[in-house]
Amino acid sequence: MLTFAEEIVLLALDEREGVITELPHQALHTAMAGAVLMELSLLNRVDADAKQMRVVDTAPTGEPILDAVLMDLQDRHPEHSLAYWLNRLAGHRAHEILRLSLAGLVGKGILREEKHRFLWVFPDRRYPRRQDREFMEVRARLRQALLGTDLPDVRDIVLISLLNACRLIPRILSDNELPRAQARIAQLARLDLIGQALAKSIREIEFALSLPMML
Amino acid sequence: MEFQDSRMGRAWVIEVRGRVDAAGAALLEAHCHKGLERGDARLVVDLAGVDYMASAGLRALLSLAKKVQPAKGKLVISGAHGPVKEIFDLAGFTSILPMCATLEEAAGLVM
Repeated sequence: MLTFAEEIVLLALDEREGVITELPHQALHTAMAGAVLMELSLLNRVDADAKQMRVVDTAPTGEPILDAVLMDLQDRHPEHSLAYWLNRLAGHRAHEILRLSLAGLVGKGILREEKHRFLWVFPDRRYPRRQDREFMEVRARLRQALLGTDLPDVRDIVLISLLNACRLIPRILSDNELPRAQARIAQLARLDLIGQALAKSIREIEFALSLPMML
Repeated sequence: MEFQDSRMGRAWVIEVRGRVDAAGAALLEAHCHKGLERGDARLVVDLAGVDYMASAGLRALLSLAKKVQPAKGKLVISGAHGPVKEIFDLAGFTSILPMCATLEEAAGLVM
């Protein structure tokens, strides 16, 4: 099974170029932080309400990046808001989460790593898909959740919330399908509190990035 | 966390008392699963005695709502108030799960 961070990376990668073009860097970093917090939440290591997030179980998960973040969360008291943790982890851990997610997808045989040089000097890595099976499976599962009427699995609800925050739903639905699925997307995305906080943080980043263009 | 089970017609009513945080959510799910295993899929979860719910509690209720579907059952929430009602409203749960003010109303809905 793929982690939330791996699923986000897989859906965000441009299939021909093998690079993530859909999201600004800061937003991608916040999404990586959100993906890990969602994973820890589903593993019952953290819990959140409208005001705060707290560690409820310090037992290691066995996943190095999840356990590193769990240590971060334990080391900084008192309890902080979800927005605080999204910003802090985006700054401190996102590179590592992204690197490990790409390595995980390469290790599982889903992506391949290509090393290039940008302007003949700067190292540039690209990650084209080696095979489409996982991408198609994730896409098919989420299409069913978004276009159907049954209540999806909790894990898929959380992933939809994450993808909506990252504005990646258009990678799953066609231009014709999007308008009629909009109400369902909003309904499902709202069900996860971490997804709500993540969407707000990414909107704030996008707004901040748009300011120089507005001036 | 405490549970009090009763019947109202064909509805299995679980009165919950305490906090539905991560630990409470796990207990609530485990308690409900026992009933689902014996085929009790018309479920009223009465939250009148609950004063706190966090994201783990929301997920537990979503998971239960999903699990009663194959048995043509239904999950109805009753008595949510104060901070619990606020978190339901924040997460838009009222559009997913039926919510009733009273047990009688909730039991009527699951029939």
